[in-house]
Amino acid sequence: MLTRWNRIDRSPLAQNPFTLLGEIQQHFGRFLEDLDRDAGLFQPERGHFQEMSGPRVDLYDQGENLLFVMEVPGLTDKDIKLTVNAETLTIAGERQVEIPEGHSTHMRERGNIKFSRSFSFPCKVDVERVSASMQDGMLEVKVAKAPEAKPRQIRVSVG
Amino acid sequence: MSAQVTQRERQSETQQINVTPPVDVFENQEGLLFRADLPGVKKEDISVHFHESELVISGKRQAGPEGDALHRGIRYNDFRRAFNLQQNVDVEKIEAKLRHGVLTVFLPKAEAVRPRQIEIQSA
Repeated sequence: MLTRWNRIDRSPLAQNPFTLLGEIQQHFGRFLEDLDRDAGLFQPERGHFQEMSGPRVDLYDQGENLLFVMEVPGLTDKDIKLTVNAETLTIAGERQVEIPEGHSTHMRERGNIKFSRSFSFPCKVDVERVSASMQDGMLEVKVAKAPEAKPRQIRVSVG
Repeated sequence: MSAQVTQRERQSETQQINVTPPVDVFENQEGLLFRADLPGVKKEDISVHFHESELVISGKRQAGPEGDALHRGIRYNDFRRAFNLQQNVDVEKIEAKLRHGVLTVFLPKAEAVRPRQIEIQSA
């Protein structure tokens, strides 16, 4: 009854030193991936590591349109700002993780989120036809391609 | 029934579970509060399991949208976190809810471990 509550993951799995190593490896893997993510497409803001790593993003080519998918857990539509022009889409957002009143903290891994990211479109787009939706902490932004960038079926004529 | 559960746990041990979602843990006199970031995970795909003072949050994540991926930063993997609580929890009253991709689990302390004012009896 008087045992102290221990914070670290101490599942039977974690108690095996080899499994624990595996867990450390996972965390390190996540760290490497965070670094990796900042190369290429992204132009992270300067700042804390949390800000630099930013939310994870997918980009899909769906033929008729481009689809940006971003992980934004805990954010609502009010916390997100989207700007679009002919060349780029900019997504900015912010979330503050507050400690609930009257509570002590055992573990904090969920950081505050603050980001602003610009993505260059890989093709011409129609800026009049951009739509965005949010569900389960995921943001989806659909950007219609310009007519000349859409895939075209070419009929082979016989003769 | 319990045999099935054991087997499933054994399976998950052998599987490569790559994703460890970030978790916050808070405590007050009433109980323990867990919050986990689980963006894109459906309610029905999350399992919150409490057994022998171990809390396990696990589940799967549905695959991403259709289309040619030009860039992939999101991982659509299974996830699992386990916590040993060493704390008497009122198992019947554990609550979990999912909102905007954040899972909240509240584990009320059992009456026996809540702080209590003890009255001093006069002899």
